[in-house]
Amino acid sequence: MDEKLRHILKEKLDSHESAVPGHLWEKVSTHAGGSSMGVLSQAKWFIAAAISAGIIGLAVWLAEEQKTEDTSIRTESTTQPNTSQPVEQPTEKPELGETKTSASASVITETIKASPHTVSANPNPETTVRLQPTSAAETMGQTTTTTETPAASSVITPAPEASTANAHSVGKDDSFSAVQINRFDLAFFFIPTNPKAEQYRWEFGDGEHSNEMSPQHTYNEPGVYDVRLQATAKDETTTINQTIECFPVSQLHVPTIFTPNGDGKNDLFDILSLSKFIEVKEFRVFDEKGNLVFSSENGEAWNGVTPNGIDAPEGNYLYQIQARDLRQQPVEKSGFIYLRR
Amino acid sequence: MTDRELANRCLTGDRSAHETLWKQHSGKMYTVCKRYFDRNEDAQDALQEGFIRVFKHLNQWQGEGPLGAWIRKVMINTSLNMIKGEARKGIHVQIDPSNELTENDFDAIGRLNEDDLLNLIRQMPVGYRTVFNLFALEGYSHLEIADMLSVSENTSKTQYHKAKGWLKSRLTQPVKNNALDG
Repeated sequence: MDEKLRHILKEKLDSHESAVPGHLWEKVSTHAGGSSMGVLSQAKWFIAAAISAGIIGLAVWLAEEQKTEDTSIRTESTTQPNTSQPVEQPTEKPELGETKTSASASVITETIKASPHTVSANPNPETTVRLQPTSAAETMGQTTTTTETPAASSVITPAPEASTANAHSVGKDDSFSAVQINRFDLAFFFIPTNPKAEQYRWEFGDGEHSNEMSPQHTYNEPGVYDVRLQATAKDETTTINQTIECFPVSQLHVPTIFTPNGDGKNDLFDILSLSKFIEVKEFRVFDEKGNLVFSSENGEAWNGVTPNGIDAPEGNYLYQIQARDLRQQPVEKSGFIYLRR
Repeated sequence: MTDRELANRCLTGDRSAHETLWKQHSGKMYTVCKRYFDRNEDAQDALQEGFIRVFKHLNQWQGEGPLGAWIRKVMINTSLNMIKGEARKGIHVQIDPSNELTENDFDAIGRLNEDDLLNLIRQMPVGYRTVFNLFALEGYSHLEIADMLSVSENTSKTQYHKAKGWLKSRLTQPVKNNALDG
């Protein structure tokens, strides 16, 4: 009987194939890359720290974090005419132009530059969109007409939250822009500044590639990626290499209550379970008298037991958290959590 | 291209070879992983993790059998690692274990389409499902399964027996296609 069952099942299921979701390959391929990827991932933190030091007004970035959500960003960009104006400007812009975005429209745009000297030339990068003669926004305007799907063209509309990474070769056709679609995830929109080539090949630096002119790509891991664009026109291929930073905003979410009564539900004061893209350096909890009842250096959760081995009584506890985001910028948070038994 | 050639190209770090290998095997291996998990997310995690291991340890494939069989083994081991504890937990559902499958049951299984059969297996409690997959689908012996899952041989036999009882009880009901998200 067992043999018969085996036979039937084998016949039915041995050659059965399931449709594999496309995104799975992305992660697998990044790990299949061999040793070079390992070196890159080790170096990326250093590179990240070095580049980000000159660029990011992180405080502003984080202050805005809770206010906006992905969906609201998209809506804003389509309903507020002032944010989309840069796109409609004529493409023949003679000089470097800077469009100040207004704070009242809650527009915070971060500029990522591949070349350090461009970065330092910008005094106030976190509130500035820099439009170069052949920069992201204008090229977006051009590509809108050639993009096939309506969904894609709505993405092209520069979201107020978008980050742009412009190539260093100002004024030439051989550059491209990488636009982080929103600050909370790892999706980028890639736009060549020369939309007239006949063929495009993008290598996103994580093993994935695309032959679209303006592809959208989502990375699986934050990091620094070397992106390569090969554009072919009239049998001549131009290759552009550019490094982009893919660091979404950190999210540190702390619960307000926990119940360490051993019922398996919410027994731990765990600051990592709800948080994303963050590295906790110090996590301390104090009782109402100010005594330290728990501390950890890696965000380890507290089980409600004091250092003396006693169950901490019900009540409010003060916590202090010091953490780093993906760019190694400090993130701090303190507040109260209620312990109920 | 033979398995050996493809594997050699993968070992040199050839990305297109990696992708070819993935395209050749991921569909079937996704089915293999799905059998061990009721949730698609878990099966996808196992598939990803399994293929990462495949690429990492491809040099361990000596060519003694088809590459597909070796990959499948990696997928099964990866899945088992992920469900380790759960598969040993024992039984939550009361059923009559005296039921053996009859000719009628075999006919019923034969009439199920592949997806329905797969879904049915995935609905089994995890302890039954794991042993059932290893014994009936992968062809391992109870002794081997006992070793793989760190349980006694007897436990493996009991779980398999109960899995059959569970299957029998379900064969008399229509399969709920919407019980799983795919």
